Order: sequence, then C-alpha cells, then structure tokens
Amino acid sequence: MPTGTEGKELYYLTIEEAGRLLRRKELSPVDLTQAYLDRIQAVDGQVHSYLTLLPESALAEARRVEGEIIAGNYRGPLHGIPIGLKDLFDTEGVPTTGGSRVFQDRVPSRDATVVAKLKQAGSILLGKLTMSELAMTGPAGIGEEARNPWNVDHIPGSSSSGSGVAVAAGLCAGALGSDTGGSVRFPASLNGIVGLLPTYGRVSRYGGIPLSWSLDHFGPMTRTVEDAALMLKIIAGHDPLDPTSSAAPVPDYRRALTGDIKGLTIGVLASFYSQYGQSVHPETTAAVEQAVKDLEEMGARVEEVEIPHLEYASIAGVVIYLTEGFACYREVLRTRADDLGDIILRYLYTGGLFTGADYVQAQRVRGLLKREVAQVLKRVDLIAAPATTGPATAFKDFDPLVLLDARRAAASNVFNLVGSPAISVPCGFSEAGLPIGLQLAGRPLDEATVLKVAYAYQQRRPFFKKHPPPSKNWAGPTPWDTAKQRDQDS
Amino acid sequence: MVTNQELRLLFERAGLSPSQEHLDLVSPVFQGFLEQLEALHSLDLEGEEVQGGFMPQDPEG
Repeated sequence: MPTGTEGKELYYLTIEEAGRLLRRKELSPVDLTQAYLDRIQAVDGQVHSYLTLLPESALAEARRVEGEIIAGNYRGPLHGIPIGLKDLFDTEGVPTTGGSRVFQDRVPSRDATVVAKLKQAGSILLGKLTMSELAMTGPAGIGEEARNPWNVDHIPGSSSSGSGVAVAAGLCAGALGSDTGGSVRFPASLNGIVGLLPTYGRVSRYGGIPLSWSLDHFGPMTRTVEDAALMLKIIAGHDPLDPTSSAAPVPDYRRALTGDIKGLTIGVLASFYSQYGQSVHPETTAAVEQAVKDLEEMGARVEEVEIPHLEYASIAGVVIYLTEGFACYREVLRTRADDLGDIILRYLYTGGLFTGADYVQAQRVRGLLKREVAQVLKRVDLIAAPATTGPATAFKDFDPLVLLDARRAAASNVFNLVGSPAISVPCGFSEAGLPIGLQLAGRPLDEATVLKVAYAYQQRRPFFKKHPPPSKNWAGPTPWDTAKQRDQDS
Repeated sequence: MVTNQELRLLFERAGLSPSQEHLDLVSPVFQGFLEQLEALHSLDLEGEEVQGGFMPQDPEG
C-alpha cells in the first residue's frame, strides 16, 4: 500500500485525516503504526507516557488490518488507527495494572467493553498508558511519572496522565481515559488536547478498574473535537454487562459538527468566578473569557448563570468517591497496604473514616446540584467554565493533597455528580507556553451539542495545530526497548 | 480535631488496624476535610431525599 503523505508527520495526523487516507488506500496502517512506534522510541523516554508497549502485536494487527482494507473490507473511521489505553481498561492477555503495584501482575482474560468495541472497529492497540495510582489524583504507583510535553518539568495532570501526554506528543492518534472528578478533562486541558466526559451511562464501565462506581466515566482523549466524536460513536451504547448503562440510542455525532452555533445559548458560570475568581490563574480567566467572546461573535447568545450550591460540589464529590473507593479497596488496605503509594493510601483510608451520615448528606447534595444544573440547562444549552484553575503546575510546586483544596474541583466535579457530559477544548496558551482549556458542559445524553459548539470553536481557534516543542536530549532506554526485550525473551 | 485514639476506633469499625506510620499519613488528610464536612452537614436540605445514583434512562429524574 503506498504512503501518500510524504513530508508530513504521520504521528500528528488527526484520526479523521489518517482514516480518510487509510480508506482511500493512500496510507498503509503498517506505516502509520511504525511511525508511532518510531516516535515513541524517539521521545517517550522523556515524557514516559507508556507503561506497557506492544510493538509486535501492534505491527501484526496493522498487517492484518492492511489486508482487510486492501480486500475492500474497510470497517470505518477507526479502522487502522493506532491508539493507547489508560492502564485501567482490561485488555485480554495484556497486563492491566490500574497504575498500582497491587495489580502489577494482573493479566485480564477478557477485554473491557470499550476495548472490545475499539478492536471491533479495527483500531490498533499500541500499548497501555501511565496513570495516577488507581485513578486518584497524584503520582503513578508503578512506572515512571508521565511528564508534560509542553514543558517536562510540569505535571501532565491526573489521573489520565499518560493518555493526555501520548495524544499531545504524537505518541498515539487517540486514547481513552477515565474521569471520576476531572481525570479526563484535567490532563486534556494541561496537555492542550480534547477530553470528553460523556454522560454517565453513555459509555460502559464494564472491565474498567473502578475508583467510584457512581462517579466513574470513561471518555475519549484526542487532538480534535471531530476525533472525539468519532471515538465516542464507537465506544458509546448500551451494555448489558454494566447495570448503569443507558439504552438511549447513540446518534452520529459527526452530523452535529456543522460549525454553525447560531441561536445556541452559552451560560457563563458566574458563581464559579464569584467564589473562586481570585484562585483562578489570570491567564486562564483571560483565555476562557476570550473563548466565550469568540462563541458570541460566532452567533451564540451568552448569559451569566448560577449554580447556587456549586461550592458544595467538591466536598460532596470527595465524600462519595473516597467512600466508594474505600469500599472497592478495603481488602487491599487490610492485606496489602504497604504496596500502595502514600497518596492513594491516605485517600483510601480517609474514605473509611467518613460516616454513613456523611455519605447520605453528600448524596442529598448531589440531588440538589442535579436539580440546580438541570434548571440552568433549561435556560441555556451549555455551561462554560475553565477546565482547570490554571495551566500545568511545576512538579516542584505540586501539592499531592490537592483534594483538600475545594476550589480546584468544584466546576469539574459537579458534572461527574450530576452525570452531564462535559468537554475540555484548548483555548489558548499561557505566556510560558502552557496550554489552557475551556470546559463546555451540556444536558444529559446531549453530547451532540457539546461537540457541536466545541467543534465550531476549534474551527475558529485551531490551537490543535500547534504541537509541543521538539523533544531533545533524550537518553536511556524507553519502555519500547523494555517491551521489545520482553517480547524477545518470551 | 480527631485524636489518634479516635481514628483507631473508627478504623476498627471498618475492620482495619493501620500502623502508626499509616495513621500519621491519614490524620492530616482527614482533619483537613473536617471543616468542609461541617459545612456539608450545615446545609438545610429540607425534604431532599437520597439520590442513589444517576439514572441514565431518566435524565430528568
């Protein structure tokens, strides 16, 4: 199969671009996969996004997929697309660790539903990606710490850290992450990519290592909104294996991407600024305000909105997910606490100290917030807010006890609590060259409108075309070498 | 302020007996949440019932 992209960096093609070339047989999935493996070998030693790399199986799958496409059996926009998975999605025969020493020898016997769907769509698995231990905030429990490709001295955002880094640095075409209180949107924002929190129930949670059953969401992380729409279409849909899975039909999200947002109303979260304004980095505030102005100039109507009890979203979320996390890992705490890192240990133990009264009160607040957000979303189509309170912090300044800081999570956590879809889309850069993200949240099951507005914005402000600076000074073995050696040994 | 003794009792109820080293790690985190917990419980939620979980089939509910 010819390669019709001479002179282009294959690893920075969007999924849509690569898919178009693959469909026309102008690009070989083998060449595309090899381009990613070469890129990983060249730069992942500096950013550490991969925990497990699968070069042999990826190339074998690419050759198989190439045969299918040549034979005229093109399956769709993910056919032949190399992807990465946060290391909490079960993959048959491939270690799935949740980023923790507790699970470092765990090899699932079947795929998570989302993984099965991506494989069925013909995507090629490059490997499993680094993550904060057990999807909590903070450091990885095993492997090297992922680093932000825009400045490797800065954090990549947690907990889908490797997913954010790999997509931003051209180390996969798209990735999956999980989001319990912001873990898709934070690394998306800090790495300058798109991250989508789908409606709770829209994407099956079956086969994902849990942190909090009622708050965990799985979603795509990509360079463009269009790519997120393509991935969501594949992974969404009812799954009888997940008791909270929605039976609602899955629309063709790409049809919503018209670029026209005239007549839509964007609500600006005034309460967030009134309560936390001084805590939001001024460059983030300026970038988000400019983005809202852009949306207005594109034909959207903008008005201020309030979620009266927003300030309680953070503590309600913390109580629920630490309590549920404790329930998930009580036995681990009882028998293998020494195998857990200090940060996850502190938080999981704390979940065991909250009382039933705390959990019930948090759930009642959740109900209240759900009604308040629903009221707002009757007046406006989307709610806009910063995806994070600032650009990526330097590692040396990162406080691992960040959950104690309520301001950080309120405007992201609230959408996990109420189950609404929300996206982070790049909306600029700080003076130091670090990305900033705009968050847009919509009505339950209405990812189409969220994607529609984010897509229109990205057409006007295509920050996705800017990539992290070239990686230099790389030295030492990468995970690629380790994986290759393991494949050879076996 | 919760003492180490009280923390131990709470952990015992949960079927755990963490080491002193682990207690020292957990204590400041839990103490750090106490003020926010107090604020959470100070909310007058009147007849607000428990939301067991989001029902994806019923976005309004």
